[in-house]
Amino acid sequence: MKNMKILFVILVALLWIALFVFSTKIILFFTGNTLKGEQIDTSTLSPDIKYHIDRISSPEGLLKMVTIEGWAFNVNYRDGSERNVSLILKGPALSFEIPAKTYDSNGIANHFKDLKISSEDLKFDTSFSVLAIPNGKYEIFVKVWETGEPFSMVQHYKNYVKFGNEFSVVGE
Amino acid sequence: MTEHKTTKPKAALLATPKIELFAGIIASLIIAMFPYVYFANRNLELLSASDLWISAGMVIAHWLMLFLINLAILRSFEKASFATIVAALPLSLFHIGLNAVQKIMPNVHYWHGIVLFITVYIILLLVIHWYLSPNLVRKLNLIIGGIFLILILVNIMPSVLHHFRTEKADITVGGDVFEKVENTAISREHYPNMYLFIMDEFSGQEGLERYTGYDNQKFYDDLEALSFNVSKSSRSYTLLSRVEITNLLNLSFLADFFSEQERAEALKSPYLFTTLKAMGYDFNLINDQKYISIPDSFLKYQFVPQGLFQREENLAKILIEKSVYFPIRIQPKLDRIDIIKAMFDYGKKSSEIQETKLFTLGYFMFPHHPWVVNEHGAPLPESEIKNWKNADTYLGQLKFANKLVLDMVNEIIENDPQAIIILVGDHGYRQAFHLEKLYGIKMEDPELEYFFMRNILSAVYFGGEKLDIEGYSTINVLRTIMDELFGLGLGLIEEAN
Repeated sequence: MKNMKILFVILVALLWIALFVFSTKIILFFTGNTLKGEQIDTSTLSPDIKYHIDRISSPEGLLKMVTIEGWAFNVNYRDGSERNVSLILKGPALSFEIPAKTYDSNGIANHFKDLKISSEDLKFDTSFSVLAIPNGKYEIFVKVWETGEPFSMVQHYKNYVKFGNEFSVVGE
Repeated sequence: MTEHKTTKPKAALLATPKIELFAGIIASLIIAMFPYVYFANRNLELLSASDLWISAGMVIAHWLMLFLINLAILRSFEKASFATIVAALPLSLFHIGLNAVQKIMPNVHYWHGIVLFITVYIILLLVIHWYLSPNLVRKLNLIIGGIFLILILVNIMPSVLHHFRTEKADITVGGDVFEKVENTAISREHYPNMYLFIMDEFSGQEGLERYTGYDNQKFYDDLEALSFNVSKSSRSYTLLSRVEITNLLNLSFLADFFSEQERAEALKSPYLFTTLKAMGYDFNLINDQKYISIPDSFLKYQFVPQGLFQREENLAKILIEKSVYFPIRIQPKLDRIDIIKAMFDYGKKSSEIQETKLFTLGYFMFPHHPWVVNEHGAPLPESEIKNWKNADTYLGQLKFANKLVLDMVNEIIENDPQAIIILVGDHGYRQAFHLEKLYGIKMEDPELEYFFMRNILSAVYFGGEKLDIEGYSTINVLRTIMDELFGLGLGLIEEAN
């Protein structure tokens, strides 16, 4: 009986330690901020993508969320197609793909009127928690595609470093 | 003799533990109130009476909730008091502790702190329940309560002494305003709309050059192009917004410092408002942070852009930010930017409310911190929100304020060309003061620094006409305008040099 009690206490203590150690991962999971690391081939870049990243925020809030806003499109988009954007953070070991929400923009369509691009889904924004990615240097790729069509991507000219709770431009 | 000892009155025997029991409960309340007293005492100059009452109510409600939870678990008043004593301070100062730990271990987050707190709290409840006798707990309650009572008294004593040593301000306001108004010969039908926009921490040209090295001449040129009369050498009388604004709304220098009661009294019927009311003016207030406490009975229109917990400088917010509840205060900085834009938009729309006789008072806690935008209106990192060390942070927000101010007054003049628009800072950029207060960086010549820190924005659009305001304090600017418009003969008071 005494041994059972000791075993119970040890089990509770181990469970507590496991909960404590993995609490960040648990919180990320329950808030939908887990990012799946994978190998993504970023060797083929397209010259047909026009893009601009307007803002990459500093990590904010309890979950240290970084918000990225901008616009992107492929000059070969067809009229009326459904367009998608995601951002790829390519780290030292793994890459993380972050889907973005897209918005229509007449301003961008007007600016590129020579390309005869329609205004749908040109702007994007997305956010991710820096707690969900390991420390290291990250390259950023913008990936765009029409639903049902192959994707194309372009590399952003700035690289970022994630260290602790910070996410900042390399060299700053 | 032995018999005499054992026949102590029964009522006395019962009374002693009851008093100790009650004292134990009060002790737990004293400890729960300690952070409130500490932070209130350190921010007394910035707080209003309503701040103090609301925050006290909040702290007492929190204490009561904790006490009742502990009572439900432990079913003993003295043990519940002790458990409340043990829990109150870690909960109230949770964020401070977390920040300290994060400096050493950046991977420790809020949820780690919560798990740790709950674990330790449960263990303590078990220890209190099983191992501590009611007698011991009663004694511990009294000892800890006594220590914190002494700490509270030590904290508040300097403020209490200061209060009694400070001379009371003479707050006789109003005077013979009604007689003056009756005697004025100007037709009441043609009184123009007036706009007084107080921009908190908007430095004048001299202060800005001293602390940021920036020449804001382009802004002044743009104002002059809109027919504004500008003064680059105007100064406030003090560095305290509450004092400065109370004084200027009474058109007199009443006091260097106000007690809460005195300030409240002086704002019950401020001279500027009673005078304009007698002239038939209606009032429109843009009240950032609900900072201006003029009675609502004066106001026909009011725009309050945020609720209690979104305000920047109140005690409830300070206490929440230090406590375990700080996540409810976390909000995107974009909220503040949106609020600022909404206030300037309302300022523009104020020119469409009435054709004449509307006095709009706008208090904007801007470009005062929180510093949330750069000169292009793009958000700044969280680390810059109160960064007094980096003057560029303030400068960026000031440059953005330049744009918003010009945009607003441009539209007001378009809609209301006969308007009187008064743009003022309540004090300048107080970097030197805050570097000393927060980081102990001493001012070599405090008098000289105060001179520059009191240099403010001062510009008046007087229906497109010329008005000499160079070097005038805001009180004298307002007195000049009142005399020019209504012939009240107020004259000038001593300048703030």
